[in-house]
Amino acid sequence: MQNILEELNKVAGVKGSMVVTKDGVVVAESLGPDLQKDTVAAVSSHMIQVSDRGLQELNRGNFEQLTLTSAHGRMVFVNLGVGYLVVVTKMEMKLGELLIEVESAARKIKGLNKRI
Amino acid sequence: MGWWADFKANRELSEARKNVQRARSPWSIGEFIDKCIELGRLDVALEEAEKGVREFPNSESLGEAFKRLIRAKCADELRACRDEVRKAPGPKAYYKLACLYKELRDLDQAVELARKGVELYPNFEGNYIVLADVRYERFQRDLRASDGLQAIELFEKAVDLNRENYRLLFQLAEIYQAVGAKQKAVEKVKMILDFAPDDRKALALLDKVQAMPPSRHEQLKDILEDFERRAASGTVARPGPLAIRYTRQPDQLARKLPLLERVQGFQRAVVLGPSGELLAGYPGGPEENRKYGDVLRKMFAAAVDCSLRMDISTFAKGLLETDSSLTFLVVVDRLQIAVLCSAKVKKDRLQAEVHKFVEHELYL
Repeated sequence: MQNILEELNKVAGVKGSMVVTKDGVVVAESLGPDLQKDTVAAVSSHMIQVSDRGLQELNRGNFEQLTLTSAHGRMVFVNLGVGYLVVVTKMEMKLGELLIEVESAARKIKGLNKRI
Repeated sequence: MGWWADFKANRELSEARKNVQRARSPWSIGEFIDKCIELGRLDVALEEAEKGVREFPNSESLGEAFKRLIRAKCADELRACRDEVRKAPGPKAYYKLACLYKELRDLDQAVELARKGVELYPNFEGNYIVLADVRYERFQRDLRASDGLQAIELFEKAVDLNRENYRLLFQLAEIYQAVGAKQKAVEKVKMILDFAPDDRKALALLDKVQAMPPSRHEQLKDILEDFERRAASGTVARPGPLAIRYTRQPDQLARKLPLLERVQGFQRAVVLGPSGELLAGYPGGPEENRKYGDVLRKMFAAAVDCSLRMDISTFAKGLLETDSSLTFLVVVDRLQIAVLCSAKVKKDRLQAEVHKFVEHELYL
């Protein structure tokens, strides 16, 4: 899993990635110098919990993926079943390219989980 | 260009101008700018873009069109600066290229180059100024103490390297004045007056600064945190024209929401005001929409908080996907707009339709 995250971080514009549970427990991480592990885990866990709870309250299905776009960067959260892949990127990366890379990494991690 | 091509271009331009006049919005101005770029009329595009940016400073369409325009206009300059960094690197080469990227609104590149410039040539002030400018711009938008502190530290570093940079000292004094750091502002203005004792602008600024009430705190960090608290309570940031218009007339907004029915799989649209209050929802009555509003308010709050804490600045939009639905969240001019659809809709299509609604129809 660590290797998959490290590979993902080599993509230009990716600042860091992490696999985290809904409760904020870090399963694996590979973060750049600007990102702090505890902050990313706490913030991601909060975002995932609020979104998931909202989806349930409004009866809108199960959380699969969330993409946030801000003035200076993006965050993507993908449900892996056993946890969530969280990726933080700079703004320079095109959204389409980013999603291809993130979804490919998520598929690889899901494949690992199946083997385990 | 031959006369026929010239004639055709003028006709197309005039048609495009009429379209903007018929329905003036950031989106229609953006279309006009693109048309001008296509026809090679960069001067006309620049004039319209500058007017548009002044009129709709927070528009995404205009920002993107402006970027495309500057990129077309500065293509040769960009190439020359890149060559200079490659062939004859020096502090000024990095600075020039970083400034150009900043103008192109490619802030990641600008910051990367300026950081590299600082690392290689730490005694040249220009690259600190680029980093400080970018950080200060974020401070102005997000009103976060941490951004303000970083910007000021970088500006101060640049001042240490050149104590007679008028523009820099003036800007720093204005920043201190804006956040309420009276003493620091006075110090900077006096530094200007040391080498330009008769400067009228500096003397006027000194009068203004001396009329300020004294700072409640001594440490800059505390002053900025106090500023952030005031900003959060709404006493600093003001809502833009869309928020003002629709907060006053939510029924006008409610009448526009049915336009979103054109989105395939459309289920519901909910709009919250600057304080998170429900302004309008469609379809359904107020009770039903209030329930949606309560849930969506929490999602927006989490997304805003997440973006700021992850240092990626102000939250602009988000797409939440499930096995059966898509929820698109957009913040525009402090209005929070959520569009809920079934999974039938294509993501790109949904985003394009909502973009047009937000940047065009809401402005009409």
